[in-house]
Amino acid sequence: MPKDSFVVVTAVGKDKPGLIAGLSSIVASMNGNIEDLDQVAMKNAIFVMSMLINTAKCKMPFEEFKKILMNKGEELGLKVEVYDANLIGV
Amino acid sequence: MSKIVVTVVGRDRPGIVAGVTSALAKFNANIVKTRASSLMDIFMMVLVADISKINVDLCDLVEELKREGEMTGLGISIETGETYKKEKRLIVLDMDGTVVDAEVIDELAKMMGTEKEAKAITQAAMEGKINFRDALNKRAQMLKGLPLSKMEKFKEKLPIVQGAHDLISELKKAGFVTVLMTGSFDIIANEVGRRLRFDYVFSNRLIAKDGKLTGEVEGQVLGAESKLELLKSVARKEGITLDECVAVGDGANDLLIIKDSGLGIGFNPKKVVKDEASALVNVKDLKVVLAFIGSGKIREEIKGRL
Repeated sequence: MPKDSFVVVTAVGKDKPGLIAGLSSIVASMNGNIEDLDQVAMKNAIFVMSMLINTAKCKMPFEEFKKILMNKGEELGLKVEVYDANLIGV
Repeated sequence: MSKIVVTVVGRDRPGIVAGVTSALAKFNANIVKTRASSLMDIFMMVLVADISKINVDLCDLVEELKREGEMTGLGISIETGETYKKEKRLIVLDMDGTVVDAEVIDELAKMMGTEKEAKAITQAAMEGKINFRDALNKRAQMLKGLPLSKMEKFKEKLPIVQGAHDLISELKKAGFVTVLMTGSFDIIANEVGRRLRFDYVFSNRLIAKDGKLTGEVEGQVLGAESKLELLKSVARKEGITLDECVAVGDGANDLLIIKDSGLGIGFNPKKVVKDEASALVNVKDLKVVLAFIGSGKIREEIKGRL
C-alpha cells in the first residue's frame, strides 16, 4: 500500500457548465482520488471550489501533477492554486 | 430557474466525481453547489444543478445520470428542487427483495417441493407480466398442507437485508412513520414488522386450519394500485401528503408508490421499476436510502441553493 499523500486544489473564475467535470476528469486521469469537494456558484456567476485529492496512487511527482492541473485550469478560464497538503501539515 | 438535486453514493475510487459531473456538463446543466466527502470507504456527493439551459429533455439527462450511478456501484438519486424541498415524514418499504433478501413465497414453496413453479410465477408477477391476484392465489395453493411449525422455523432464519435495522431506527428517531407493505404473507411480514418495529404492516393473510395451511389466501395487497391506495390511506390518517413520502421497492407492484411518492427509490429493481424510479440503490444495503433522504446541516445548505 502506498502511503497516503494529499493535494489541495482551489479554483476561482467565471462560472459556466463543465468546470468541475473538466477538473475532476483530469484528476481521475492521473489516478487522483477526490476525498473532499466543496463548490458554489456565488451570485450564480462566480465559481469557487476547493478540493482535497488523495494522490497515493498517482505515479507522477507533485510538481508535474500541479502543472497539469494549472494548465487545465487556464484552459477553463480559472485561477487555480495547487498545494502539497503535506507542507500545510496534513 | 429550475434545478435538480443529485445525490451519489459510491465506493470510494477515482473517477466518480468526473463521471457524474461530465454527464451534467455534456447536457449543459450547470452545477451551482457541490458538497462531497468520503468517510471510511464510502464516497458521498450532493449537488445542485441548474437545468434551465439543458440541451436535451430532462428524462434523457436523468437516464444518463442513472447509468453513471450504476457504474459508481451503490446508488444515485435525482430529485427536482421542488420535491427535495419537501421534508419527508413517511417511508414505505416493500418486503421480499427489499427488506428481506429473498422471495419469501418461493422459499416457502421450496419446502413443498414446488419451488420451480412458484419462482416462475413470482418472476412474471414482479415484472408485471401477469395479474397479481392470480399469481398470489396460485402460489398460495402450492403451499396447501404446509405445517405452521415449518414456517416458524423459517421465521427464525429470515435473511433481513443489511442496513434495514439502521434505516428504520434512524428514521423513527427522526419522527418518520414507517410502513411495511408486501404482497407476501402475513406470518412472515408480521415477524419482520415486529423485529424492525414498523408502525404499520400490510400483507396478505394465509389461512391455516389444524396447524396447516389450507392453500387459501385473503388478500388486501394485490398489485400496484392497491399498494398505492393503502399508502394513501395511511398518509391521510397521519396527516401526511404523498410528496412527503419515501417509497422503496423492487418489483412491478411497487411501481405506483414509487412513481407517486415524493422520493421513489428502486432497490436493486426489476427493469420496469428502474425506468420509473427517481433514485436507484444498486447494492444490497438499505443504509444508502438514508443518504438519499439526507438530514441536518448539508440538507439545509442544499435547500438554501434551490
